[in-house]
Amino acid sequence: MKKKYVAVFGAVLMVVLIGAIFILGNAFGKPEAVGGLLLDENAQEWEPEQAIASEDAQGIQIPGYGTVVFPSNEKEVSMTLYNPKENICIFQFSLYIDDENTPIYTSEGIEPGKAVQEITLNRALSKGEYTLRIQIDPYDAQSGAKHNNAIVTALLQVI
Amino acid sequence: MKKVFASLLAGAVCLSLAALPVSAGSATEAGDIELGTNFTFEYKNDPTYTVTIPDALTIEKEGSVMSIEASDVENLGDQKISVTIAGTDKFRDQMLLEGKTEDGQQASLRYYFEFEDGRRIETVGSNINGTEIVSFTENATKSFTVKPILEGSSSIKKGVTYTGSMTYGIELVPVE
Repeated sequence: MKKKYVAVFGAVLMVVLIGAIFILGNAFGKPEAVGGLLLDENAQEWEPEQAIASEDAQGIQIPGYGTVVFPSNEKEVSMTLYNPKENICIFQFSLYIDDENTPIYTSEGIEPGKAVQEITLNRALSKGEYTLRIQIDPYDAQSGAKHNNAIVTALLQVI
Repeated sequence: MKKVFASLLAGAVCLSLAALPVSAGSATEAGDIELGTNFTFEYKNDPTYTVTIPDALTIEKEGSVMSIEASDVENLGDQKISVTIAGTDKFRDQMLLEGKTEDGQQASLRYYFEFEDGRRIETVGSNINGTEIVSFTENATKSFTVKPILEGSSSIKKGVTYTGSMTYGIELVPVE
């Protein structure tokens, strides 16, 4: 009788342990979310080569781009999509070509002080010049509420 | 002694030769040697300037001052940074704030931008998207006043929190 109780107790304990491991494993495996916006796992700490903006600036600091160069026929391209560390909001970047309404790339949330530098486009581009529209959507870090946003337009050269 | 000296001398010669710059080269099948240098260049698509925009529209009865700042501006050549209105979150991109009364009635409030030179930007008839607010050729802060339009509309109601957001267009354009 005693052996039976020990066996049952042992089986129950095993089930509880397995369940706990499963739940904890799922919790640690999930990407972090802030205000409903998933954070981009590829975002890394990034410092500009020179000071980008004065620390006294209020509002939302939006990075501007001159001419952007991508390699032709490549989906994997380099571009620094940066959220200045002075901001207190999460950035989401979307890239559009010319007047297209579907983005060729959308990032997850990028925290202040971080940037993604290697991105994968939805499609490779042929050689030529395009208009690149970089839509920057800032979200409140706590509530996920949307702030004023910006669309930075730059010349895109695909070579 | 002579052998030691000779060894030291040979070692010194070897070291001095190792310090000489040598170009990368390759031998062809014909036995000729081709010298060349491999150049690599990585184009960094990093940000080249920063524009600080207001994070929210805040309007007081007498008007509120808002500022837009450009920083890290250099090597623009014959271009300027143009900050324009690219849209709002309201129907037809109007310069409009909206809210609800406690009993659920819709309320709306129009607003406009006023500049020191008397220039005014407001939604009157046609779409204002693309209208330039300010421009920069160097690091600077430019301010303007946001004012509510309180007369001439029955949709303005007291005790309402009006909200709205704006999309700013930012672009390098030729200086006129």
